[in-house]
Amino acid sequence: MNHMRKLFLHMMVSLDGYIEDANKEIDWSRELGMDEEFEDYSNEMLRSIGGMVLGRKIYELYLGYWPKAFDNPAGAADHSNPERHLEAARLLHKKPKYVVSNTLKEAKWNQVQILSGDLEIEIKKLKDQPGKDLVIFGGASLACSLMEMNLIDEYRLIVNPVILGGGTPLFCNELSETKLILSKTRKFKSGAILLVYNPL
Amino acid sequence: MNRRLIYAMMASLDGFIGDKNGSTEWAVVDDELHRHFNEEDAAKGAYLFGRRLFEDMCTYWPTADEDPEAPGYIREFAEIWRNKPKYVFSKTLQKADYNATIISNNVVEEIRKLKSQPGEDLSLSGSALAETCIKHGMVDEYLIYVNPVVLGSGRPMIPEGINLPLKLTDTRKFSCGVVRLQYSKLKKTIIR
Repeated sequence: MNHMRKLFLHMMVSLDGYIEDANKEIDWSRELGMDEEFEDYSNEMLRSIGGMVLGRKIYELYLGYWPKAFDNPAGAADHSNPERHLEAARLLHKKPKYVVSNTLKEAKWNQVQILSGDLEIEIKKLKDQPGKDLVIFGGASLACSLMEMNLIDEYRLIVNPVILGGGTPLFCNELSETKLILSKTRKFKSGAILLVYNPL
Repeated sequence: MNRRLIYAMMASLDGFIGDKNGSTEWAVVDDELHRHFNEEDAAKGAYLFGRRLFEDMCTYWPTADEDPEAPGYIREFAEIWRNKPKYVFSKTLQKADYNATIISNNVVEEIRKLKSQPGEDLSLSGSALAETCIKHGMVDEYLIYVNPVVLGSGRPMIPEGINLPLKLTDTRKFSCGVVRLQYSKLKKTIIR
């Protein structure tokens, strides 16, 4: 029997389910992102994966920041946790990145594969390959497509202690009522809580 | 020291308290959670209701324990509900039974007065009334019961345009998959 790798979604959300506020900002989650305990958790997660699936926009966001952080560790000196930050940069550099895009032609980063074919076929192919589990960090519309195709095996949501009252929802409008199974929770000292769900 | 105003809500994972038809049928509740709600309500000093919610509840709860087939937690809650002091906020309601007092003016002032009275904490229910309380910074504690359900669309837990940073004070997992997140309010409530 062929064991398929798991694809899990890993995202920071507000209490009311937004991944960005109404101005498309994420500063409400930045404080948590730099919390020591959270960075340790995040690096551990990065170590555990076989690769990451990214939408084009989030890939370009990462591209604008992480390769520099890896090439120039001294530049991170004023980051609150420079060693953890550098470790994150190292892991993001090393791990395979699968970018879903019909328009991106050039990789520009280490270990990048552009997925431009049929999304369902491409993702199933990836999951079929041997190796460690895969993570999707975003964007929301890519996540929505994958949810609708039943290709997401687990949701790891980091619920930040804030109600935003508007913004970009993680779970898109078009989704119909979906029951999930809560499998795990973990509280962070910063006030965020990890909620892990699997589809039925 | 003021008694606290507590707002509890059963929410979907994507932050809705009602589906697109306003229904709450999707909510996941079992015996354990029902009993927990009863315990929480029993410990409160009073309920604060908007008129609509109060009238809805009056159609069922006052006599819910008369049905011998009704589960224990229903019969238990019916008694708690009937006897608990209630403050119903309405400009139109003339009369209200079941230990209810109607407040038709100066909502904010009256709630501040209630909070300054001695007694156990106050339970806030009804989204219109909650909106008023939230906008005036009067809610001290938020209890979000996160259900293992995604709705996609529906009625948001908080009115649009309110930005509420909170402080997580406690968490509890229930066997039905609901997670109770307890938050206290921070100083700043931003209203756009």
